[in-house]
Amino acid sequence: MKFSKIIIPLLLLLFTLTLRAQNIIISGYISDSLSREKLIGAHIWNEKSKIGTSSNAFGYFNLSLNKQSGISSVVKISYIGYATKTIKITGDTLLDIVLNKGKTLSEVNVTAQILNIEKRNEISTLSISSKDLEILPAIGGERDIFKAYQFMPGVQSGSEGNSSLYVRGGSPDQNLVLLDDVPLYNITHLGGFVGIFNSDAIKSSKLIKGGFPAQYGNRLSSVVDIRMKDGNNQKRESAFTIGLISTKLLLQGPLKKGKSSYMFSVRRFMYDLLLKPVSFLSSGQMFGYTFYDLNLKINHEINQKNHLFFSTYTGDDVFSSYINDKDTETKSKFKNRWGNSLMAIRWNHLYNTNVFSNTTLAYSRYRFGTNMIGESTSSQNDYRMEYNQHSSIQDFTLKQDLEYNIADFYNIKFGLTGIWHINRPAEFETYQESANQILADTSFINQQIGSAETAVYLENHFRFKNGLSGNLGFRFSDYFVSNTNFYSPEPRILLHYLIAGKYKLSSSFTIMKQYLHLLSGTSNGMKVAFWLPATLNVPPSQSYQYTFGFATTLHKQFELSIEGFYKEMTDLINIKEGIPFNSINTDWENKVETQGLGTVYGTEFLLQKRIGKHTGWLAYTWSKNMRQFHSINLGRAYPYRYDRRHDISIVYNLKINKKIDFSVTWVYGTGEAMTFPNAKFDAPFMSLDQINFASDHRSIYQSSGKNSVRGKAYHRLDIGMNFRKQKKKGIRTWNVSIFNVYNHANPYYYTSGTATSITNGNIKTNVRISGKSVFPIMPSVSYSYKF
Amino acid sequence: MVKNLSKGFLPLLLIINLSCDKDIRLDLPPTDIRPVVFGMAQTDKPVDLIVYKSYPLLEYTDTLDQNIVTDISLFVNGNFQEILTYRNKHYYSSYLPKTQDNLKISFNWQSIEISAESIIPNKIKIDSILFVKRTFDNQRVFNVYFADDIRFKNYYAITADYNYIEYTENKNAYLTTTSSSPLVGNEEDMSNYYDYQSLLFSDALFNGLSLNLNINIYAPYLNEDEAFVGVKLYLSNITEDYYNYVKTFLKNQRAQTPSFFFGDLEYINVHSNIKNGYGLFKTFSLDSVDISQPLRNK
Repeated sequence: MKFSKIIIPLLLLLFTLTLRAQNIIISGYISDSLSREKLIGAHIWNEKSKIGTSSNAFGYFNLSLNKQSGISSVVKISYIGYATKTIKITGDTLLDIVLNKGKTLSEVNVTAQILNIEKRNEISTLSISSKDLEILPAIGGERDIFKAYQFMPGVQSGSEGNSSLYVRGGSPDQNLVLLDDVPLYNITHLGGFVGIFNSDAIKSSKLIKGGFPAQYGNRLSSVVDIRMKDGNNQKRESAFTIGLISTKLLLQGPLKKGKSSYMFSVRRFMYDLLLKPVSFLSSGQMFGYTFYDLNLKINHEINQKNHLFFSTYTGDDVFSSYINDKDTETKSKFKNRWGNSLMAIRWNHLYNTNVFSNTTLAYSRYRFGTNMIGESTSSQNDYRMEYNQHSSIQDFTLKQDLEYNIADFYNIKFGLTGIWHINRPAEFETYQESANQILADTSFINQQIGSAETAVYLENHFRFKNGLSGNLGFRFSDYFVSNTNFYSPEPRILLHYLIAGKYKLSSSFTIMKQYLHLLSGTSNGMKVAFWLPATLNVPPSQSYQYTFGFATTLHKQFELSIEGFYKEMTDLINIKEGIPFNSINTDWENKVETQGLGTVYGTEFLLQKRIGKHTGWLAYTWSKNMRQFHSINLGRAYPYRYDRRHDISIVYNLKINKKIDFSVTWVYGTGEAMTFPNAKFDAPFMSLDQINFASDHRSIYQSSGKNSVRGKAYHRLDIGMNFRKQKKKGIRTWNVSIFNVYNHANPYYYTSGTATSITNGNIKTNVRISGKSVFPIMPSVSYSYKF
Repeated sequence: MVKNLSKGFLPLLLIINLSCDKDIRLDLPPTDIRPVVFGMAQTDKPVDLIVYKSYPLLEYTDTLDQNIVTDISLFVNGNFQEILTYRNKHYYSSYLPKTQDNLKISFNWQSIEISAESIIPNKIKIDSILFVKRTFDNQRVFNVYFADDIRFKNYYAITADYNYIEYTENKNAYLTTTSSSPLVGNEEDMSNYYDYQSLLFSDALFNGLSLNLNINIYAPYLNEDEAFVGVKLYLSNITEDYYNYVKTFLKNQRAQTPSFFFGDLEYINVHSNIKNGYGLFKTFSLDSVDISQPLRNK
């Protein structure tokens, strides 16, 4: 009943609008002229009516122009790095537009018109193209999309070298990382140092940190939308790269020219191939670490109205050791493996020139597992022990998204999503046997939890001639777990007002809900984390975010944006004080602190130059990031571990000529917040009727408060150069990069210890905190060949 | 190409390995020296305090040598009562507090006022204790009945002690509770730890109701014949400050033990109701029942 009350008036409104509008409808796909790779975010603009749109994630666009106003329907299609195309339209048309890359630098400068920041219907949205990524310093030969975003305002790294993203004070689990529409749970290899994607396989990416469109949900702080290349459907292309960290290969080409194509990429960390045999031959012990990832994408254009995509990704990190100690007659094996796998089938369908549909069926899995076996080979001391630890999360997703262009000033997006989550929180098994007798055979298992998440959404995009534009959206989600429903209405309001055609004022308010938690250890040592589902006892988290922004273009080349934000997060979780992190293998719900409150606010400044010989940006963020839990820090609010008051990034790229480009980046961030004691006293034994110091007492260490000590500020300079040369069969590129040019010792983690000194014959012992730096100056070189 | 790469890689790897794992010295803020006050007050007994200074982190000092000798004032319900008497490193009152007395102690140290304030909770009487069963030679199970006072948010501590002829003083017994537990969250962990061999809990689960608490009393190190001589069970109505102190004290102690796989736990501050100082001024009221007789023959 309630449903019909809402839906019927809505349909009537849409119908009325459709009848009223007398429009020419231009729609179609925009692609690269050589590879026919669809271009995401290309702009289609009618200058007279000041109406335009952008191509969507599949390169499709749809633009209505009002016929009655007598406006000549000439549209310009532009995309950064490509020559702008002008097309005259006489009636409803379905187009297949190809854009040519600018052949020379000057041509690109002249022709690469981009939609100015003040005209884009978005706020708090960052994008880094594969081209931007190519010219940034490549540390160890690895270009990383996540590290590139860490140079942007409002996006911070965690510890040194880590690719995890902390967006507007949120934790890494609060980022919805989508690879071709499928969520990923782990985004790093090599302890966070390397991102999980082969950057060569990425077509485009954007990061949204506020003013979230209603199509996105289930994360509090950001959306990172990454699209892989579809594959060149005109000719076969290959590229391989050898770097200090990994070796990678990319293959792409047509399966049926102009109709279907494939893209395949593989990357592997190679050192273990050398390290394992060498360590085994020299000591009888074998240690190895490797990571790999593999992407495959196949797409087929059935006809102009139907397009099928199949994509899959799998990637793992594996650490293993084998020790055969002949002296003690013991053997031990250890293996630790973690990573993501995903698979997706998507179907694009055009119902008519007005309605674009995308249907997605997907599977995604993240797992973390440890296996340890120890045994004695001695006949006198026969024993065997085994230890297993496992944690995983699996998602089965069915999603339907529709875009409907109703009028020249108004279009909608709507859809629904269903996700079935299967979560196995941390499990632990141990087995011990000696002299054929079982000493221990125990499992500490948190029950597998299944949960269903469904959501419907509607986005209303509008742009009025008086300068007011925006996106009024609404998402309604339901999460069902253990016979309990959590309903969540999530309004998404985004408004822009253009003053004098030059200055854009923006404001947004969004509510986001998150039905998953990532529980991290709180110590100052190593960082370990487990994914946990929301349950009745550990309810879902929610965020409320307000943003206010100003944006303009200066001298036609510089984009300036200043944004302020205030974000409040409720129902956050944290491990209870005094509970060891490894104890969450059982009864985890009783070991986490719930109802946590997070408050983050700040200001972000971005000055960016995206076209020309000199490009780059200057980003500065000031923010304050606090957390408060009833039973942590005596209930008082405390700074979040990665509360970073000041965060500065400078990125500068110079295209010296067609063959050489140079880039330099510098970052600075306030040190991380930590807890260390700074006082000590003895607490006496207090029986019922007396205070007795003589009987017993215990030392109490007291800090000034949780996270009240600041680590050293972080700063680092990187430089990189690419040298390209046309060879007989292709283009070879040498990349030379230097990470941490002035060798600043940035702390990776902190430990506490004591230091003894002798002054005037008196021995004095002091507590000392040492930060350990593990990333010094690191020159690197990589070689790649594209043919 | 391979030759070129190996020429380049080897020196680079050497540089990396040589410069890895650097120590970065980070100095802590100066040690915070403050007065430490531990005090207790219950009905019809003198207020008892000890006052000393905290000390630098790694200095091994006899705490009692750090005693602060000063004039400590006692206020009762907002009115000055007396200056406490200093005797054997303790401060005592001559005033004997009553339930619902608002007690405040106050003194000046380096021109800073150090103070603490606490109300003596109402006495909650044990309605009855019933023997349930004998589990082992030195363990017995009882049901304890008492009624919570709905007017207040109450916190309780149940303790038992026993005596044996060879001991000069009473020994604490270990207590655990079973199915009818009113303990919530990690209150279970607070029991039987260090000197708090007691069950601590709030009335969160039985506010204003009668509680039937199933308690296992364990008198360690005594055999059947020796155990359960002079056993007494105490029910203390304690303050929220005292409850929070014990809760955080236990976490603080645990955080000093390193965790093997995942690094140390973070240091956790101990709750204090001493303004501008550390420690605890605890107030409570006590009811006790001698349960030696029912035990002796069971």
